[in-house]
Amino acid sequence: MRLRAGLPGLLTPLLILAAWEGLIRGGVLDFDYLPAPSSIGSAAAGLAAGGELAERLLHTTGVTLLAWVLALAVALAAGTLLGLSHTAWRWSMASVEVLRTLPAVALVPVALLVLGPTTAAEIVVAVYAASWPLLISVVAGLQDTPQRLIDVARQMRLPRSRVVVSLMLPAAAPLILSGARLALGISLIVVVLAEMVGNPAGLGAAISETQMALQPEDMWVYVLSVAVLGTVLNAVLLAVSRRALPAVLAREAS
Amino acid sequence: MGARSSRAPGLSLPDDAAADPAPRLRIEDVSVAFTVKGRERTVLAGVSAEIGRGEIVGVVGRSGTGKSTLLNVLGGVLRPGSGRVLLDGTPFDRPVERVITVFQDYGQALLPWRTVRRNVSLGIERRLGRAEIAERVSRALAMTHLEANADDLPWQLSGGMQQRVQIARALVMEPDVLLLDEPFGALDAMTRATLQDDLLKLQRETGFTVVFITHDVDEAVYVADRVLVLGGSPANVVREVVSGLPRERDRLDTRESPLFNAARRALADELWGDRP
Repeated sequence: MRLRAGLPGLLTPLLILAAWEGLIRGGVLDFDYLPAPSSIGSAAAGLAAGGELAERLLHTTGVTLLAWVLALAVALAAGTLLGLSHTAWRWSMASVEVLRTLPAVALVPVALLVLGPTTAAEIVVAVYAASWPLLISVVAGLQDTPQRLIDVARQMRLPRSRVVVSLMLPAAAPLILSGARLALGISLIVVVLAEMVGNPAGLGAAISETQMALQPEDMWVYVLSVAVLGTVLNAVLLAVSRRALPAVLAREAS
Repeated sequence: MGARSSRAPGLSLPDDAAADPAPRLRIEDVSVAFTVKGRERTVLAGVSAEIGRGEIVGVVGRSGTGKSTLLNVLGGVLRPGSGRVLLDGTPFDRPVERVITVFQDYGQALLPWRTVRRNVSLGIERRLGRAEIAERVSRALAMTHLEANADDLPWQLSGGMQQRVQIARALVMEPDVLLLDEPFGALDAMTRATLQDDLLKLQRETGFTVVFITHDVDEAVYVADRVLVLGGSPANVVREVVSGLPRERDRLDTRESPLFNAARRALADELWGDRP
């Protein structure tokens, strides 16, 4: 999979923006609260100059990343336990299957009720939601360790802890990495939602506040900021993992 | 097909192989059965053999006769249903560091995220001092001609080189016995011939005992001192062929020698003689 979008890939959104601008200026699209991209652009410049955009962006980015890192820690610990212990997996498999299919967005109001409209509530729900894909990928990765690697470890009589750290977890790394990318996206979605319905901070709160205040230009600036943030976080994670796991990813690509 | 003598006609046994009082490996009446879909199938029935120190023994047999099963028992990763295996007179039924297996599928057996050097050190890291690890690894890399590739990743190497990495990884453990499960089966003819000579040379240098499985009759005779033929269902050692070839072997001359051809013929008769 190539990361670079290339010239045609960049041209498409520009064409869409140009068409959007043209349709509104020509009066084909005529809604009270649908601004043209040029007005959104000038609104963005204003919000950026006032420092408000940066502050909102910083809050949402920080909370998303913090929740993601916590989810990574929780899922690696719990996933390693469930992936290695047949007993633990047998006892918890049914619960995992039920809980992970429960949409985490449904828990946002619950968490806000319990913890109040706070940043802590945002983090708790995001960690919860982001942990599942990671947990599943850690368990699946550990349970699918190639048998031959296990044979090699057995004949060398490597201790169990070394087998897990040096063979099983690295062999599972590509799967865990794709779980981590999913988790980062989920973390952002849940954080923005929690801000929209509860915690008055960050991009999510800005979207619902500008909606109430009938400021469509500003609202679009925040909506597009969420999109850009999601894209940038994913690209950074890909780039970092390419540096950290060149061998594994190179083999996947070959 | 005449009488089933235990030796190919006209061939003599190297005098140190059977005379050694404490064989490196002794297989005593080993039987193995697997349960497949609720039915028990006996794979090996009462296999017995002795393998001397520094001896090179080939194991041949048709597909599915239990060659790999026998090697797994020797490697200690499969416990036989009855009978036992002994290393220097001591029974064992779990892996021992002195007996190391080299697998055919080097692509699966190597760690793709580790360099050649770190693949080779896998079995000794954290068990020996830093200096000794470095020394053993560089010696194993030198013996397998991999010094120039020490920092490459396995997928950057050819199949033959990857298999040499696996052999180097076994060598650093300084094993007394090397078990090889069709080690060169996935390689092209040229590479296979080179690795056969490399294996013979390594054995001369270090003196380890070799048991290897092969499908290739020529390879069995060229590499081994003695070839065991597994046959029947359940399988047993149905024939033992000693080529009598000197250890100093040459890829071209040896294959023209009468000893080579006689042993080759004896194996071919045993494996395919009763086919129409």
